[in-house]
Amino acid sequence: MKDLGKHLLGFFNSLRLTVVLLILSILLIFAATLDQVHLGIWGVQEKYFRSFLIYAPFRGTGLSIPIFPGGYLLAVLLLPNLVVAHFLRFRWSIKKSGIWLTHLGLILLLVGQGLSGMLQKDNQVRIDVGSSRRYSESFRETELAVIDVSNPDYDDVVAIPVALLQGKGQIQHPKLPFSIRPVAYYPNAQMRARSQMPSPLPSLATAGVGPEVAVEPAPVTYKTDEANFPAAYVELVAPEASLGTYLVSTMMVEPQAITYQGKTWHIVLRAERDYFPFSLTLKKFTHDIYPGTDIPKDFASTIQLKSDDGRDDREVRIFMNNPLRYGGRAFYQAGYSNNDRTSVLQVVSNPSWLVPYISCALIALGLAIEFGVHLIGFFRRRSPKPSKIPNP
Amino acid sequence: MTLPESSFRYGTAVLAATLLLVGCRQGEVRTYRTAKEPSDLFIVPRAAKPADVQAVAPAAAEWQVPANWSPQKATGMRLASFAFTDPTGAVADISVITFGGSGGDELANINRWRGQLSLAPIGAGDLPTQVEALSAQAGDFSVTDLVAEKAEQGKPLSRILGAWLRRGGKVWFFKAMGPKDVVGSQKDAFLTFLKSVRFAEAAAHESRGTAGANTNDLPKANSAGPDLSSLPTGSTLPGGAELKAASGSSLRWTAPGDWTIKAAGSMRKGSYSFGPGGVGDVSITAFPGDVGGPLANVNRWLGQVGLSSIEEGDLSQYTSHMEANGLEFFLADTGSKDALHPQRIMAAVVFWQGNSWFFKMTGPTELVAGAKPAFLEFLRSVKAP
Repeated sequence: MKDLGKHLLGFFNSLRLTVVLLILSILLIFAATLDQVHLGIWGVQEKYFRSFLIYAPFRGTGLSIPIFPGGYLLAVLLLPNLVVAHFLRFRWSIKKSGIWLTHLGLILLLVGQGLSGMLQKDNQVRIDVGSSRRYSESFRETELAVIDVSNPDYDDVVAIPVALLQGKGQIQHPKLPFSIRPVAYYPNAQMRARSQMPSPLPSLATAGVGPEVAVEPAPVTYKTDEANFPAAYVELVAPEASLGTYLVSTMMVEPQAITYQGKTWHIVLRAERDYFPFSLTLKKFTHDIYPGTDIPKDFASTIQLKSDDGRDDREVRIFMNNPLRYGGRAFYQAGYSNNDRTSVLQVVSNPSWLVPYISCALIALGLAIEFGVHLIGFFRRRSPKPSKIPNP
Repeated sequence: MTLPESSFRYGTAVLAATLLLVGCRQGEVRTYRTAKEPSDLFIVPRAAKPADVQAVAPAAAEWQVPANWSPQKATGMRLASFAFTDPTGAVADISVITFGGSGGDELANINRWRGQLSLAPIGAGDLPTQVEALSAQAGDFSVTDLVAEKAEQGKPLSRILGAWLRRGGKVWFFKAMGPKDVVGSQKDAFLTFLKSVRFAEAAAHESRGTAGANTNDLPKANSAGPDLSSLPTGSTLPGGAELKAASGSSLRWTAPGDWTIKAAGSMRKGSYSFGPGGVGDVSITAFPGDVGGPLANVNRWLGQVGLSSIEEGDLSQYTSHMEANGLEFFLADTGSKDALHPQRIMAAVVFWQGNSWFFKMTGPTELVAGAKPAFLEFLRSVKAP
């Protein structure tokens, strides 16, 4: 064990490792920059930087194999490399405390960025004036919601991430009396009424609205102003028989219903939802512009915030640069639509949101100390020294 | 500092273990319980809900359909479908569709419709000349009017009058398509139709319905309003056509005291069971248009009890008419032919505000025969709000 620790210290203290990792980082950034043409900024971040390994399809096998380390892996290696090298190579002293604090701040900043990348969720809430919302929706993540709506008071939701629909394995869950067999998945697809298509291919769907609809797969878009509409065919398989193959798509707003064993289930492919233990009711939305122009001056949502536990029932105002922080989430005024009748709030939940603030404070303090030490030294050198008076 | 070989080995081993751990991370299935959600299109009928549940009055889309547009069967993804037929028999097809998300940007919408008219796509710079804003009570519509440049052989030039509106994370498309002159003649009507679109905003409120009352005829303040269910619950029409439920206000009725309220999932506006073990079923549904007409409906019901289809001439053997509260009912009874077909369906259809309302009783032949007087009494309670 002691040996392992020693060897690890040796491994991470290596300058050779630093150089290799920096070269790999340069190559990674170079490749990502070139690929941004195809994937856009978000796609590049996900593929190259928010990943441990970068995969590429292996021709003819349908498999993807790792071909290059991703941003997370390089950071995970670079960080201990810097930390270990710093502690082993630099000696602590009061004079050097500024440098130490600055480096500590930088390391914390890196860690914070990593944590944010992994833990932060960016969602949005769209609320029409007069209506309430108690969940936010992901910008990009999608889920297949299978909802037991039999109880008149509540719905029981089983939310299946689309990653599982892309596989071939049958999805089973203790709360579902049937299993779900992924038949086909399209990351982006348009829907057309089959009756309007000249010669549509046979539908894979056997139940629900699917047999009426033709699916036209489309290339995945990475543009910031475009959205993908995933679609999938899923077969619901009960122990005794198949309940049918359904087409689901985020383009279809309304769920499809299945009755089985006396219960009614809804299935719907929708943006991944994050439910709050509170509700937000949009009472008023105001949108001011600079006189004589269309330039927004201020837009603000007046919201009634009501928590489920009854502790809070108050009015809050969310406006530009003045978010509501509540329940571990920050609600920013992000936009508006529908002739100012719909307010769009961006919801950020990030357990590590304080880390960058602490990092910056440490860096500022470290720099102040470092410059302070130099300034004091500078003044000391400049202050006139008592001249030696020659003896008469 | 040189790096001993063994350090590399250890380092690599630890790295590989870490990668295995992080690499196996996959999306997890989540489960949670939520309060019932309101929907733009979907209302659980008051009659089917136990009293004193929290009712979330939804925002329903309503519109005034021009008198000369006839409601059509809303198939596939259509929420509503209408047709205007001019004196020469040329038809303009009007549709309402809603999609989740932003539904594509202005340019994508315009170019999709241009593509349908075989027009070349335009660039963003040409947008202002192609799209007009129309301010209406539902919000700001983007409206476009596109005319084909080339006609298909032997056909007049096509034209699309299209409009879309974004609202609450969805986009609503309204489109009229057909021969140029026919669509042109309906432009004013189309714009008036757009202006009539209304989303009934209603905040959540507590229901104080009478416990156990077998009626949806509650005071207006408590009534949940129309069921605009568009749940595609599988085909009930010949040929697998999908039904979209109707929009508009709801009829009112009072069910016999010995009927039990059932959860009205899917497309039902009301749902009851009766008889021993609750084997008898009564459903109330509504769909835009005539849903295929009397013959198609009767043949569908005959098919459901295992009887063969009939011709138009035989229709009168199975049907009759009845009037109550100013509503004219078309009644159908599949009757009972033999022991092989022990099920019987009695149904009534009333055409009201552009929608066909179906009241349908299904159950064992004897049970249905016995429940006939109660069913007719139930029909006589149906009235407009």
